[in-house]
Amino acid sequence: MSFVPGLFHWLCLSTILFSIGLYGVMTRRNAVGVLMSVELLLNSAAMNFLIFNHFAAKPFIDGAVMALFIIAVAAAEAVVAMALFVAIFRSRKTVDVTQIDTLKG
Amino acid sequence: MNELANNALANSFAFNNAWLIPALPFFSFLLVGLFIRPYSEKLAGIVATLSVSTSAALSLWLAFDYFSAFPAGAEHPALVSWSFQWLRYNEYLVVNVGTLIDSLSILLMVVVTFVSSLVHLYSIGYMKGEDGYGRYFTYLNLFTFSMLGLVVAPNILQTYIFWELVGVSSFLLIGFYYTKPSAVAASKKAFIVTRFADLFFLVGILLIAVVGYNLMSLFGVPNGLPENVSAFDFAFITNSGVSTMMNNFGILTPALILIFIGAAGKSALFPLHIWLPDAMEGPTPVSALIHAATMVVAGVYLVARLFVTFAASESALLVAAYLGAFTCIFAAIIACTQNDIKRVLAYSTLSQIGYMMFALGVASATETLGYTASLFHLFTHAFFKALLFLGAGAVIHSVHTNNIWNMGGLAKKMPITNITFLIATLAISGVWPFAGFFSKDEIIAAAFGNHHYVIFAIGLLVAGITAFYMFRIYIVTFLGKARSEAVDHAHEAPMTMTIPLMILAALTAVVGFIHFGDYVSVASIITGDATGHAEGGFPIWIPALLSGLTGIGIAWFMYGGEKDRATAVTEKLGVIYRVICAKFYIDEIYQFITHKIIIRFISTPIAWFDKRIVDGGVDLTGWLTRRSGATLSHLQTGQTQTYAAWLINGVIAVVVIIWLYAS
Amino acid sequence: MNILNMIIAPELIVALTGFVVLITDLFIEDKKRHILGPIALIGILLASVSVCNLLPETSSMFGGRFVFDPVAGWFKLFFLLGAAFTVIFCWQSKAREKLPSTGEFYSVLMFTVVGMMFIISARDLITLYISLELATIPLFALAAWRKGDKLSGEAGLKYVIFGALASGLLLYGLGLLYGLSGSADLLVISQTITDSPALWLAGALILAGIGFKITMFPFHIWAADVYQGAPTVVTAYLSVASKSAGMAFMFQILFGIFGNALSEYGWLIAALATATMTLGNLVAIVQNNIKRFMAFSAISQAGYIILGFLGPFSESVPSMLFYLFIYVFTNMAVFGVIIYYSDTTGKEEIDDYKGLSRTNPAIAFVMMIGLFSLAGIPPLSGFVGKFFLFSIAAKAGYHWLVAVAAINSTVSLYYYLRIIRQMYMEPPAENAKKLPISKTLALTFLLTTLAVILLGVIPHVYETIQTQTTNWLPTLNQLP
Repeated sequence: MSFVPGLFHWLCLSTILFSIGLYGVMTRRNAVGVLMSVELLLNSAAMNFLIFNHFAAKPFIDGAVMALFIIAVAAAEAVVAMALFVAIFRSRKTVDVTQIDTLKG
Repeated sequence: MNELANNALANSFAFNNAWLIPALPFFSFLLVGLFIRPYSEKLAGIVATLSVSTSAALSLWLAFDYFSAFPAGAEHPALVSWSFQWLRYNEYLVVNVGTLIDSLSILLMVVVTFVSSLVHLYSIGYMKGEDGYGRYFTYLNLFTFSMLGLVVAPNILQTYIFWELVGVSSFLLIGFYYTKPSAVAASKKAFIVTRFADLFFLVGILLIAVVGYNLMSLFGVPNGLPENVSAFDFAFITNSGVSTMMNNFGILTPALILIFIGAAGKSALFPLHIWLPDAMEGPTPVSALIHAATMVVAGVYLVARLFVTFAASESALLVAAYLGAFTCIFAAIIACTQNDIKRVLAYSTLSQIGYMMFALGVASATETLGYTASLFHLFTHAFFKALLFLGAGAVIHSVHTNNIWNMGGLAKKMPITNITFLIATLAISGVWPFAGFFSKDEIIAAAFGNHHYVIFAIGLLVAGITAFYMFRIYIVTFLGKARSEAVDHAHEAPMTMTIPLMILAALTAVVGFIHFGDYVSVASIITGDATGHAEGGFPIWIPALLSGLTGIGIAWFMYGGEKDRATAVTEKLGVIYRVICAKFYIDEIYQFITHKIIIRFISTPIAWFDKRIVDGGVDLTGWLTRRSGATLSHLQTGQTQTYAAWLINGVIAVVVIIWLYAS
Repeated sequence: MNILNMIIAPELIVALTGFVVLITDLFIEDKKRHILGPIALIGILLASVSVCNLLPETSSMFGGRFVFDPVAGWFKLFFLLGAAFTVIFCWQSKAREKLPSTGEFYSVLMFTVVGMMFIISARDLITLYISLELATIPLFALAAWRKGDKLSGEAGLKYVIFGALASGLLLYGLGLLYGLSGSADLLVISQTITDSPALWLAGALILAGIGFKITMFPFHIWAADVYQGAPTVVTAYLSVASKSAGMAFMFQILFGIFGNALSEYGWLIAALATATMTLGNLVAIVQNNIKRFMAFSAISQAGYIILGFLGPFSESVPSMLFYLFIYVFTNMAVFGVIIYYSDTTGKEEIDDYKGLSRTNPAIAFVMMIGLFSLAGIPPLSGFVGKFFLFSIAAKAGYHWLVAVAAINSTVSLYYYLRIIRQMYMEPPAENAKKLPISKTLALTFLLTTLAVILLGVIPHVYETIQTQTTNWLPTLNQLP
């Protein structure tokens, strides 16, 4: 008898992904690492949309479309962020987010 | 209401666009202040003058249309020709901005725009070559706008806003020569004293509004008022049902007295008069405009506007009557001893405003002659007092001194100024056929007719004193020999200055013949029979005229001859003279009260309390605020990941709070 | 079909302008690049005309997924106005505030405007989210526009990380909403959701996304750093247009989805408003950099605006729209002066403003009017706007909140007066001289100042907004 994962299992997976993402955002020192963790967050949310589309809104495909768009948005975000990191690396020779704290108070 | 007349007005351009009358000076204020002044000072004066003159033409047109629709003797309804809602709290507390057209507001509009445009014209000559010529006209426009906004206000809050604006612009004008310390001090004094009085005014307004709001929520809109009436509207406050109800609750008199204190501050009634003589530090045309014809009559206007309400509370009117009468005689006595020509005129203004105020005070809901007389006097006084100030300005302009004992014999050097000044002097002294004769006569008759005999006697006496001190300055200034070298170089003022003098002189000579009561009377606000000319049993004008002539005679006797009889008299009077000369030491009394008594017995303990406890408290609050600001600013660590933690913890906190609240 | 009558015309015009500017920028000589500003301005003007042309009508497109209604129209006007001012300030900057590659700057700016305009017209989660990202992601690049500048780079980095995180949280919340209702349509969601812990989580996550955009406590924390580091032109745009976009998003979520439950959660809004305005005001007191100072001032203003959500819908929508309208002019007047001053003198500390009234009285006056309006001094427009917002809170029974807000206004007066004191009381620096100003900028200052004064005195704008938006919520719930 093969095990068929249900709504609960899929949601657990996406929540775990989400939590890993949050953890990464708060602990990674390298800005690229932080960005990757944010991508995890976005992906877990995209997964949520797919899961809910499959289990709660079967005949429509809004959730699936949303997931596609999220991938596109994540890519756009990554492009802008990476460009920024490169520029910052040129001027500061580092992309360690804990070192970049001139603006405060 | 007369439908036909309404239709006639409905097509009137001036009526429908009455908002232009205050708006034109405002537009010109912006235009001149922002664009013209930096480029051409000369053009600034011309544009400012033109805009106000256009306003004057419009108000005359409006007056013509209004009084054609509601001819003399007919009922003169108050119409709101244009208005919009500005602020709204709920259905009974709405602040509208608009233009109220009735005979009272038209009267004031005509006076203000007319005198203001003449003063503008006069200033083109008078201020020539002064520093800040453009700035002067900007302020003058602002003042005219504020005053007109006050006059047309259909509700008391608009009145109050413009009331403050008038205060600000007069502050700017009095302190126009801001390099002169005395001018700065005078402008501060004027602002602080009137502002102090305004505080009472505001409390009075709020009292009336809150009670009015509660009345309306309890009993609904009173009969005869439109559904959308607000507790601030004059229509509501002057409604007889409303005032009766407020009187029954016992708040009418206190509220009116608070409002009256505001009026007394602007109109410089004793004991709040101290700012007006000092305000003569401003340029002389400003004194003519603000301190003769417009701003100082704002208080009289306010009491007149609320007259029906005042009439419902006997005591509030009595306060006005006696305070007015006292100011009237008090200022007249001081005026006899002053040597600065503008100060004499300032005290005479105080005294004349006292006349207007007591005339309102002696009137009542049934005997309304005083109301008409007061406004009649306001009307005539505006012309002859502006004329006096402008004439004095012409003299000062040419001899460069304010002291009358440095003048003398100017009649030949300045013929136009001499004749116009003489006309104004005769008018204020109440000599037939000049304007003052008619209005003053009516005031005195009103006091007599309503059995206020003490006030009647004061009025009669002051008529004599007025004639005396006015002829004193006239004789000393214009007749006799030159008393200083400056007079030898004196010359007639330029055309821009003499034309306003001549126009005002002509008006002073004729406006007295207007049958004023037919146009402006309480009947226009109370429905009832129109005022009859309440004659006091015998022709009042005979003693009034006699009193004036006596005053002139005494002045002639003392100052007219070659012999110096005045010095002898002052020496005989001795202490009394010195007391009067020092203006009854009122300023010193204020000084004493504020510095000695208050400081020693009240302030010192309070200061200690203030320093240790209140100040400490304030400082502590300030310190705490800054400290907490500084502490909170440390939350901004600059660390991106701390910020991320804020975001995530914020979400968690919101969920937890909702959870706690829901369970 | 007449393109100007299509309800999507304003968005199309702005997007097209973005492309036109971008392509012109490619083929134009360096010397002639200054014409790009006017091109962008013309596009914005055309779009505004188109919005005004569409205004009080309501209609929909794309099967009801794109709706133009009066509220949307007004929001679009605010975005366009904010963008117009930004373009003017950028175009008129000659020295220190001059941005590199302005052509690209304008086109990126245009695309964010398109995103903002779509936010308020969207009627389903997908469009809503995509347009929000379109309005947000380009801003990261704008904040870091000065590539070599350390501060600008840092601002961009903080903004992109915080923004991406907020967007992730928001998206997770939207996903939960989708799961709870089984539909992406806002109307269906609002009718199917029921109170449950999952909904609370979804609400809190979405609130984080909203709070990030409108700088609401405790999600405001990024704002000060980014505002200070970003080029001043971008700061102005962030504080006005981006915040309005956040408000548009908040309208969509709170009125569109949680409209029925809004009155039950008034206490939460009141608490957030209190915290936001108090924190903004307290921290503003101790600031010395004027951009950072304005960041905290803007945070406290956000606290005042959300007071509007407390009232009945028919009053809250017009008062918030009116306040935003005023806020566009007021904040742009102040930022205009800041940009101009920093551009000509290179200074951006509060103490650097000393004696400005002696050297440039007109500029000082514009600044004073703007600051007084922000502080809510009658009869300026800021006072009238606050009056409406506060009276909503009072009528909803939150008297303590009105007291707190009034105390906050007093505190804010204190720190706004700090700048005014520098300008009017302190003598100018010894070598200070009159600063030159271009005609365009002078005209812009004049217009903003007039608007700040007149919007307070003449209430017709409020009345227009009120009559046009009275039926908004019913129509919101009727369209397919």
